[in-house]
Amino acid sequence: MEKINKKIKVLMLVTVTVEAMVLAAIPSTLASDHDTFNLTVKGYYIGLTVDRDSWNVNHGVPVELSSTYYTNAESKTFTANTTTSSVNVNVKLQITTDGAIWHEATSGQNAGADRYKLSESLDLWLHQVQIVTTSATTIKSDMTPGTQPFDLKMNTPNVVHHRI
Amino acid sequence: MEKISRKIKVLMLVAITIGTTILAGIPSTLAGDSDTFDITVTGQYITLAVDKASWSVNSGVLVAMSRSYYTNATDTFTADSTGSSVNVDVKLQITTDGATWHAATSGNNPAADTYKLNASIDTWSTQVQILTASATIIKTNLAAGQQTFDLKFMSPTSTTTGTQQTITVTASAIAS
Repeated sequence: MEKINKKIKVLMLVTVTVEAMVLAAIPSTLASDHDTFNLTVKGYYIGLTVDRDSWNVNHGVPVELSSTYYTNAESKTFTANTTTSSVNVNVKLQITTDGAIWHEATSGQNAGADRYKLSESLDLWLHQVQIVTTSATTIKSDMTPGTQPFDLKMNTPNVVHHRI
Repeated sequence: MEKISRKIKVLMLVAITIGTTILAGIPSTLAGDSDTFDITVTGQYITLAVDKASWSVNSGVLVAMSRSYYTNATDTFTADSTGSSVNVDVKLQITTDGATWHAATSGNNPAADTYKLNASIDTWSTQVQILTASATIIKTNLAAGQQTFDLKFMSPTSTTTGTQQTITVTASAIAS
């Protein structure tokens, strides 16, 4: 009888051990759980590139005083590209570094001694705006992402004290 | 001698008979028996579901830089642990970051192409930052039931992309 009881105890122990092993093998999701969700977000992005790095006025030939030079006449029309922008933009130009000797005419001024004037046009000079150093001039408002050609005009000084 | 042998045989026979009789009287376990008992066990069970699959920040409209956007305007989340057999801690973690925009690390603020995500369960009386590096507890010892929470998305100070960013957040529940 004692032996039988012992066997029963052994069987119970085995059963409990097996149960514990089975529980240990159950995926951990029973002891924790998770769920996921996404955030989607898109920011205002404005990308602007200009297709040329430079305009060598008059193809590098010394310019005459009191003369006018155009990018469109030299096949150097610029193109502003905002294709990658996610919003409409205003495109502006500003002279951020002036010539060493020649300086840009201030707003409304004309070319003078050692003073040049730079203007811009989107429509081959039907309309034009002056580009100055003190602030950025809008050349195109509410431009949808894409490209916008523009031309520059330089009015050379009427007198120069130095040759650049 | 022969008589003695006979007597012994008789005695053995009697003994065997008595033995058989006794054995017959013993409960049948001696000949084979069985009994059953049950082991009952219930594991800690935790279930968690979030009621929304996504939050389109600013209702899908382009976000401005250096701005904060909140779910509590229209998109408060609810974490549901109804059915769990134990109290749980609810955690949030950014498990997939944006392609270009990345989450600010702990204690840091938005920067170029870097956003910050915070969560609150009390409409911003208190808040915690949600990170990629580890899960942040937003609610401890939640009894089986629901817990609302809001998110605040702080946009980068500048961006190098106009492409939509998708950020995956994982909400998890573990036994408290």
